[in-house]
Amino acid sequence: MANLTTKLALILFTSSFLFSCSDKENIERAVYIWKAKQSFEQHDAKFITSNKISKIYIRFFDTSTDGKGNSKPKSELKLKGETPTNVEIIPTIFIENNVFLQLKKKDLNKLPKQILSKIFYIFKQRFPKHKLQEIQFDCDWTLATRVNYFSFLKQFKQKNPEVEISATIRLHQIKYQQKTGVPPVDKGVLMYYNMGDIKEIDEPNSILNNEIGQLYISDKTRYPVELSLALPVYSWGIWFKNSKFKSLIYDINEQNIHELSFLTPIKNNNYQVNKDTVFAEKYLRNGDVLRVEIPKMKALEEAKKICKNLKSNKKPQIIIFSYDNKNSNYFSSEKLEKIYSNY
Amino acid sequence: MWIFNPLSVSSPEVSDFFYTTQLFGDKLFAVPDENIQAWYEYFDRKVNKAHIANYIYKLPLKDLKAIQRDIKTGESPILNSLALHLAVTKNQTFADYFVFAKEVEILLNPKSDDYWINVPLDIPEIKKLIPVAIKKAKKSKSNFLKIRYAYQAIVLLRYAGNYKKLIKYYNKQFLKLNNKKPNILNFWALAYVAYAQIELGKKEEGQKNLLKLFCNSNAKKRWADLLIDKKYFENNYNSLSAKSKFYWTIFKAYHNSGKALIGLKKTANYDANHPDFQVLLGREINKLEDWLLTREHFGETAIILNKKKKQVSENYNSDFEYLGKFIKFVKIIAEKQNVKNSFRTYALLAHLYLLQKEPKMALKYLRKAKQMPSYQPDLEPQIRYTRILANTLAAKQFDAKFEQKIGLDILWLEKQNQDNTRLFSNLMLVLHKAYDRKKMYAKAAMFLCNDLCGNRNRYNRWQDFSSPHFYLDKYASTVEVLNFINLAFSENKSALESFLFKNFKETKDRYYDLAGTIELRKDNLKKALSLFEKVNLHYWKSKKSYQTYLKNNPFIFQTESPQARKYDNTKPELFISKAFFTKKLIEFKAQYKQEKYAKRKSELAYLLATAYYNMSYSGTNWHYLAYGKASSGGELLHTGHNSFINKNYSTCSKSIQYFEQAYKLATDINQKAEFLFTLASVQNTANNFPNLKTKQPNTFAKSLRADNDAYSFYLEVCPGLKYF
Repeated sequence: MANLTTKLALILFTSSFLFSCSDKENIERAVYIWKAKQSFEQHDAKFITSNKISKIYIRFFDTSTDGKGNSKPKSELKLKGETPTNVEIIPTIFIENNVFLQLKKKDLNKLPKQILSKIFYIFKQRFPKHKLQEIQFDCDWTLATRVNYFSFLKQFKQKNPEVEISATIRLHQIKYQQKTGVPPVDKGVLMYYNMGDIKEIDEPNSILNNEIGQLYISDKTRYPVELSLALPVYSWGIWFKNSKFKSLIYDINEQNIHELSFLTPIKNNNYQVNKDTVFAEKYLRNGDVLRVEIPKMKALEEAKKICKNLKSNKKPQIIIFSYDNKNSNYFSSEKLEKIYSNY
Repeated sequence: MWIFNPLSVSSPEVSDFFYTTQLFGDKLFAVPDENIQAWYEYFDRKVNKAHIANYIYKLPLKDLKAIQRDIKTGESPILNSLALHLAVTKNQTFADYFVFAKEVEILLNPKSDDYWINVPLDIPEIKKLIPVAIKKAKKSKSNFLKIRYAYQAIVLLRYAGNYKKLIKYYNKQFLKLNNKKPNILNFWALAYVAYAQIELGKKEEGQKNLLKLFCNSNAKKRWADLLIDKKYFENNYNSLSAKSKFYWTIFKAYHNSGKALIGLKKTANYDANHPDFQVLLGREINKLEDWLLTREHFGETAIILNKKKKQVSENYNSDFEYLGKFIKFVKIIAEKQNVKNSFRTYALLAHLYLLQKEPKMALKYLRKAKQMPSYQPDLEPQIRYTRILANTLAAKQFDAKFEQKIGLDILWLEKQNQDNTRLFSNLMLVLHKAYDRKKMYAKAAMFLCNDLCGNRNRYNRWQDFSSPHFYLDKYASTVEVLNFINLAFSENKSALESFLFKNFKETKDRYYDLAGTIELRKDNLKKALSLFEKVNLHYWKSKKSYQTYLKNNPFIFQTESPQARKYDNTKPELFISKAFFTKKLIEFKAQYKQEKYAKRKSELAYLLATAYYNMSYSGTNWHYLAYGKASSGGELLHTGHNSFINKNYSTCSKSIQYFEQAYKLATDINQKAEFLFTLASVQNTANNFPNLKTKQPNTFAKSLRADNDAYSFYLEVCPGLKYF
């Protein structure tokens, strides 16, 4: 009897241990690279490899219109350097919503082929040693463009049945999915960032605000497409002068905020400029206010909890937005471990 | 906000680096093409510049080949003055060059009509042309063409990816071709050299060349700026040559959006005559204007004066102090600089004294700038702007003599087509404010007219007034409005007045309407009527907003009391005329005054109360007293400033007075209850006026609740009464 109990306990212990290990290990780690012009150097490759990142979503180009009813690509990727071959490269295409408003039907029908040939061209040029397995589209579609956008996605898939198609999904498209529709894709990415009103002086954090997130996602929220979760790792300062929005300041992060002696904390994440200073080429005046928005680990953990019911059962994935040479130094392996786990 | 035109001291290519933006579609800011200028100078300014540009940039290859082919005939198949010039002079070598350059251009910019098709470069073809270009550079007898062929070789080498050969060719061949005259192609070629050096990992050389380009080539400034590695120069500053250090101080000064005096002093120590130094001086003025003038003209003055926000005052004081230091510096520079530059610096100094509110010193240095032997007429517009403002500051009175003085300069600027520029718009704004501060609203409105009526999209610069009418509505008295009418519609305008009103297309009626309305707000009914009677009858009906919002009889309350109807059955459409309404109001008031019989007096009081209520913010005919503004949905909204109109407009005070009289004088119990109920409703509605600071206690509601019979009666009719 004692032997049986011990055996049972051992089995239970082992399976819970294995279960918790696999729970950690199963989360697919990915990053977005969003800048059109970037160089990929040795330390970037090291960052990718040492943090076990298996997928890189790279913005290949944007799709816009030329003002005469024709679609056109812009901000084409200019990436120097080589990406590691053991990481999957996923072309991401941003499409402006007005493309689906302005283009005529015959031009809309041509669009999937046009975009596809451009993707192939760039992929072959820049990533000759990689295999194209997935393509992602980013478009903040509306009720007016839903039909055209979804039709585009369908046609695109038909031309490439073996390549997975994914699409970005925003919070309002989750909450109002009955109205906005669900795009006909193999999977989606929930963009859990850029939630608040940047220009509003009382906004606590326009990048990541879980109070707002919870207005869109509850315990009962479900989505018919498998979703990955995109979390923000960028930060910025929002400059106010006499309570009026002036500009964004990008060179502020968790590393340097405490070293900036010209800032005096006032409340929450607001700081007052205490002396005239030129910072990031902006002339900040005595009395100006800077709201510094840095997604905190606690808030990121909370975000994962809020979105847990939307997590893919097959292959949960977390994508950080976004990776570039500047912020790679600010992400310790320890922090990344936390971001990519417990989901 | 700025009144100093940076172009006075620099060229438009550096417009990206001006502190203030120039988003106004100003023609002045169109960047001139230095390549076209070089060709223009080469042909001794005898060939039309626009035709040169057309020949080089627009004519297709087949046309250039046709010109090349027919050169010997002495005629040109294409109607273009450069083509004709080449034909007449039988200039085969130049025609050949243009064909070659066009072929290179096409090869390096392969295009498809389809945006989506990437056309790759034909590298083998590019490589084939390199020795051709080099040979032509060697063989050409014209030095002008030699350098151009050599430049084409460099461009081809870059696109072929042959960076080592590019650098070698530049150092060994290209530099030898430079004659003593400065040549734009030196820097165009150097840009490719810098690029090649960076591609080959020669960071130090590449970065130094980029810095050199930044400080010596306006055409390449923006491009170099994007590639310069600031950290590299910061970390290696001590190892830089003196020249590179100088360039670095210029670069840093360009990127300093704050007080840059320390950097400017360093730059001046190296070379106070460098063209970029002049630009930086001008830029510093624009910053000072932004700090001082924007504050003054866009709302922070009250904050400064009332010291409501300590930091704003501190900043203003520190900026003013900085201005003083900067003036001292510029004065020394002006004396040190060579004559070629110093006249511009004196003009800068004049403007600085203006900012310091020292008009006499400003005028003194303007005169000095003009007297300098190297004075150039391109500075004249700025001189005029500064002089107008200096004279405005110095004037004790804004009388006819003053207007004549500034009028001469304003009209001169108009003749130079300055009046569609942002700078001119800023000038109008400053002059408007100057008159406004002296409470000369009619004259202030003239300057507003000139800018706003010329372009309605500028209304956001004018506190959202879309017409001088709204400005006068907010600030002017009846007298000032009548002054404006006399000015705007006079047959004997001065030259300045004619210019300022040239885009003004409104009618007198609108302004007599305004004058009458100002009097109506003060309850000066007879005066109001006399002004309304100057308005043409068709005017009232022609206004859409009046058709919509003055279609109700103002003597009838919303509940359509039978009492009101008993004494006034006038057709509602007649009330579209403010004159008609005012006349009726005068009549009822006179009757009320004379009436001795309490019941009738009560009924007349009720009529008057209703009229005053309907004239208030809460009433149906608020448009008698206020001017609305259309929202994006087309509905007329009360404008934000309407709270200044009168006490009755916001609080229904007069209306309540008359309703109280109606209540007190009423003899019938039911009628009394009705009047009490109306009083309670009106007081409730009045308390909902937006931004009302003090709400009046609703004593009428209290009385109504205390009167059980009346209350029960009304509760049946109006269950919402319990919420009073």
